[in-house]
Amino acid sequence: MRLSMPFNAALGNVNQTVTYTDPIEVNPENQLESLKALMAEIKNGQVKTLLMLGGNPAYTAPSDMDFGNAINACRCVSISASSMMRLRRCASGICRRHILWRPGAMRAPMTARSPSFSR
Amino acid sequence: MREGAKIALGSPVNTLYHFEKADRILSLDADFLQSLPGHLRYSRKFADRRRVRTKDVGRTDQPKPEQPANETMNRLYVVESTATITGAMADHRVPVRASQIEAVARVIAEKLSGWSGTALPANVPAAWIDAVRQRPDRP
Repeated sequence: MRLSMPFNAALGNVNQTVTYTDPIEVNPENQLESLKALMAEIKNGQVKTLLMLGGNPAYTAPSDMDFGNAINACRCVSISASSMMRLRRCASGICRRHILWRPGAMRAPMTARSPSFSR
Repeated sequence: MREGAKIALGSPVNTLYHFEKADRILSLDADFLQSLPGHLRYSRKFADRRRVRTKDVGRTDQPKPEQPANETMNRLYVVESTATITGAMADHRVPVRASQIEAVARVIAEKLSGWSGTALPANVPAAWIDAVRQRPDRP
């Protein structure tokens, strides 16, 4: 991206084949740096309770961060749709329903009640 | 990406590519047909420029009223460090190490600006760079 921006600017592509808009994130930031900052705060004992909304950073965070062991220092609460991958180290977990959890979720939506149901 | 935008433009931005308008596309290790956000849209728009539609009588692929006639195809140049769908679709693909992508980008930038100084990676032919640099209206 950093490499391509000067190219597109030099070739006059901006607003032709490339457009830049406001970021779609509410709070655009460097997520890796943000995670590193969190890790530093956990290691310094500044985090008492860590609430995780979805995801499993112990599995997906860069391995050199050693997130799985670092969070032993604080109380963790995880809200996740994936119970299998939920952190075993979490003091408590709230299992959110998966989007396909509802029976019949994979079927076509029922648009009209069938006669068998109406009886 | 975000850091790049901050350096180039001063603030983070959301980037949208309009492949339907592009005649020549250079991808620097960017798998925009499969991995980038918006890749489904990009694939569709990219493929649209690969479909030649003319108003010739008797052809079955004539443009629909809402589609503009498309008499030329786009051309895709890919420099990448691993095999991707985008590389497979490329008209001209050069595999280089991830560490050499920047050097290739610099050489192309130097060709555009008239500067020089960066050495081209050994497996990238100089003619390839010239082909990328050439504009269709300036052969």
